[in-house]
Order: sequence, then C-alpha cells, then structure tokens
Amino acid sequence: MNIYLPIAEMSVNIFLILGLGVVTGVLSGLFGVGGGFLMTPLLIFIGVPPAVSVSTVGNQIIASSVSGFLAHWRRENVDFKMGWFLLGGGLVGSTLGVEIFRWLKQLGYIDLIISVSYVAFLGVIGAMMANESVRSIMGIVKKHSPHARPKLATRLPFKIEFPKSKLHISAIMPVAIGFFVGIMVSLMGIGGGFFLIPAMIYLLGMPTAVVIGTSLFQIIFITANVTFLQAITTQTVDIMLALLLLSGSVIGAQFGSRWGAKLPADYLRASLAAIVLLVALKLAWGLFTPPSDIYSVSVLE
Amino acid sequence: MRVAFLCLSFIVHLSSFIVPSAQATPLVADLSNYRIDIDSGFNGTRIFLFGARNDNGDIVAVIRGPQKDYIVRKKEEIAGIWVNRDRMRFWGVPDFYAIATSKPLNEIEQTSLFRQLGIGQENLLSPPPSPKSRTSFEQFADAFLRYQHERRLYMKEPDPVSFMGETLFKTVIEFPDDIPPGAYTAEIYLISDGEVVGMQSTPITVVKSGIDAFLFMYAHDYPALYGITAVVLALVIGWFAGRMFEKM
Repeated sequence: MNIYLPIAEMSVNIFLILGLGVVTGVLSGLFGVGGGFLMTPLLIFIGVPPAVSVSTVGNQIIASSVSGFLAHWRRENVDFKMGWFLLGGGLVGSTLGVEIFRWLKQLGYIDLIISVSYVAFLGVIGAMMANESVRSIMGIVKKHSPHARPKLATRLPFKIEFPKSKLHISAIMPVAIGFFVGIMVSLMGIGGGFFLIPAMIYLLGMPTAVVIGTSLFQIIFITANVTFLQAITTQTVDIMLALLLLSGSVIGAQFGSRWGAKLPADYLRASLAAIVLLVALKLAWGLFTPPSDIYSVSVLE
Repeated sequence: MRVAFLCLSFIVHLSSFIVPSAQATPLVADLSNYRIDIDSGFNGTRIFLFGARNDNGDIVAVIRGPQKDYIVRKKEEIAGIWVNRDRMRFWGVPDFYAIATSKPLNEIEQTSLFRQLGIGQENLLSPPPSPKSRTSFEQFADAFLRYQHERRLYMKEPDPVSFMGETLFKTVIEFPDDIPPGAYTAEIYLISDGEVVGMQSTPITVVKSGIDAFLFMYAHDYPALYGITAVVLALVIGWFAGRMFEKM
C-alpha cells in the first residue's frame, strides 16, 4: 500500500517506512542513540532525496528520543544539571552547523565532508569503545575506579558539582562537548548519541546508568532546533514521512528502553562499539572505492 | 529559435484560412485529460493522446515538463578518495520529457528540424560553442540523461503512435509517481518531407491537491510555523507514546 509524500514528491510503501521506524526505535531505546545513522542512509537508499531524508529523520528522532527519555526519567536515570550545560553548547553548535551545511551543499562538497566525518569519528570512537568494553567484559581489571576517570575535565577551570553523576568537574567540558556534537548533528543528519555517549563516559566520567537518559535529553532539544532551522532555510522537512516514521519508532523505543535496562552495561557498550565500527568501515569503503557513477546530477535552486 | 519557427509555422497555417482553399486542417489532436492531480494516493497515471491527420506525414508527439536548471558534477580520485571536481551546468531543461512517434526518429526525414524544435532528448541540451569541450560536454550530457532515465522522467525509447486506418492515430503517455508539479505542454507535430505541415499544442497542468498541496504550501509559505508544528507534533506524539507504555 503506497502513500504520496508532499515534500519528498514521491510515493512510498507504508509498511516499509513503518518497519524502518520500529527498527530504529528499538536501537534508540537500547543504546540511547537516535537511530539516525541507520535511518538516513536507508531512506536515501529507497529513493528519498538526501536533503529531505536528513531533515525529516531529524524530526522523527525527536519523538523516539522523547519516548525513550521518559522511560529513563521514570527510573531517575537523568542528570539534568549536566544536560542543561550540554544543551547550552549544543544549541549554538547546531545552529552554526545548519549554516555550514548549507554552504557546503552549495559548493558540492557536502557528501565528501559527511563521509569523511563519519569515518574519522566513528572509527576512533568505535575503536575506543570496543577496546574498553571488551576488556571490561573479559574482566581485565583496571587500576582506577569502575567508571573512567576524566583527566581533562578535572583540570579545567569553572568547576562545579554535578550531584547526580557524583562529579566535580569543569563546566567548560559539557558546553564544549555539546557545541561540537551540535555541529555534527546538523552536518550528518543524526541524533548525536554516537558522539555524546562515549564523550560522556570518557571525557566527563559519568556513570553508564545516567548516560543514556541524559544523552536522550540532549538529543531531543538539539534535533528540535535543527528541524526548525531546516524547515526555515531549506523547506525539506516532510511531515507526512516523519509521522510515518514516528509511528513505528516510538513503539520500538519503548521496547528498546526496557530491554536496555535489563542487559549488562558492558555488553551494551560492546554491541554499540561493533555497530559503530561496521558503519565506519562501510563508509570508508564507499570513499575509497570508485562510485557506481562518477557523475551526479542536482537541480540548481 | 524554436519560438520563431513556431510563429512562422502558425502564420503559414493562418494564411491557409485567409486564402480560400478546399483543404482541411492537416492535423487535429486532443488529450484524454489536461490536468493531473497529485494527491496522497498518487501512484503515477497515464494520458491518452489521439487525433487525425488529413495529409501524409509522420506523427511526433512531445510532452515537456517544467523547465529547470541543472548542475552535473564529476568525481575524480584524489589521494585515494573520490571527490567532486569538474562540473557543467545545463539551463532551461525540462524536468520531464516523453516522446511518441509513428516511426523511429532516425527514419523520419529531416535535417535540423529536430534540433530546432527540441525533438529527441539529445536535442534538449545545447552544446558549448567551442568544439574543444565537445567530448566532455557529451559525457556530462549523457550523465544527465542517465539520471533522468533512472528517475523514469525521461523515456529511453520513444513510445509508438499507432494508426487506425490512414488518418486516425493514438498513443499513451505514462507518468511515474514522482513527476514534478508545474506547467507541462503536449506538442503534436505532423512532419512530411522534413517540414512541419501540421501542429497542435495543448497545456497540461500538474498540481498537488488535497492534504499534500496544503502541506507543501504550508512548508513553503509559512516555514517557521511549519517547523514549529513539526517539532511540537513529534514532541507530543513521543510524550503520549511514553505515557501510554508506562501504563501497560
């Protein structure tokens, strides 16, 4: 059964879109990531124009993140104070990011930048996470405390207390992390969880239990900001497509959150590391192998 | 150039009315419908094209979609990575192009007629003035045509125009689901001995309708409001889904 999407200007299979939504929703609740890294390429693969895919997926991520976030909030697994600081940097970063996106798109280099960014950061983050979580699973004892001790965060100025995470670190760190992640969210059409979660664990030293909920809190506001900005600047947000994706993903996110709470933290991190590395490898492959068509066409606005 | 030619053609036919003659109009043609509404259930459609010729000659029917400007980019390998380098722009090219002929195009006698009228997809793109950049132009032009073929907005081969008897003809034009809205034209030519002896032109209007038209208009005319609606909708649905599952 097909439905016509007004902004994407094409018709799609309803069940395909709903299924896509459910799968990414489960990932969202399980790992605290938005699922955008999977959904955006899949939408582009089935023929939705890339600009519309990126903007509309951002819109959809809001809903699935809210859905997953509520579950963590009820279990009191959110550090709001940290969240607000992350948000401060995040709103500025994502606004700047939308402008950079537009500029790169005009030059024709946006695809390259997106791919290189994905490969570099996912590769590094994936490797770090894989290393840490596998060692944790194998029971290799670390010399310092159960959760990674952040070095830089404790040495920078403006230190304040974050009671929920039991931390006393510089406020500059969360703001800087939020800013950087905000830019990446706008450029790559993702929720930002991939950057946030490892950053929270390794750079801020937050306990794993609180990380997912706080990351979802951040994602909600950043993606809301980016969606709004994309709607204003490029008019590429397709509400109908977003609603279809939403329907599947809010349901999926609830299940994902429940399962996530029951599984051991280091296995979760190891699985996420594996997914991250796979995506990085696939993108690197795409960069270095000749494309199926060396020519690409787009309409001049 | 094409406009001048059409004007000339029109005047020639007008004169055949002013000077009394026993000849009937060389070509009459019509369409099954002049308007395509794109609504939620739109999955492509088809328009029937039919008419009668009162002279010998071949029928060529051309449907052109709204004109747009395109840029084609070519990737090159730099330090192992494939990057966009060269580019070429094409101005005023139709976003949809369908053609139906009673005989294969290369069998119809003509010299520069097709180029002037923009008949045949190769004749839609104007080559650069210098012969030096000819080869690269051809590669970029081919790439553009490939792209339109993939989107099914340009047909690879012309559709056949079939005759019933000597005078009546008909053909079917297929439109896929992702046709751009806008002003289209259907031009039907009767070509004999390398000249246009009859011609008819009809506009086709393709519009979004229903909730899709509303959403599209809303997104483009009130972008801030649309953006806020999209965000709020997502927040509310996510919230309700969360509450609903808590109760389960």
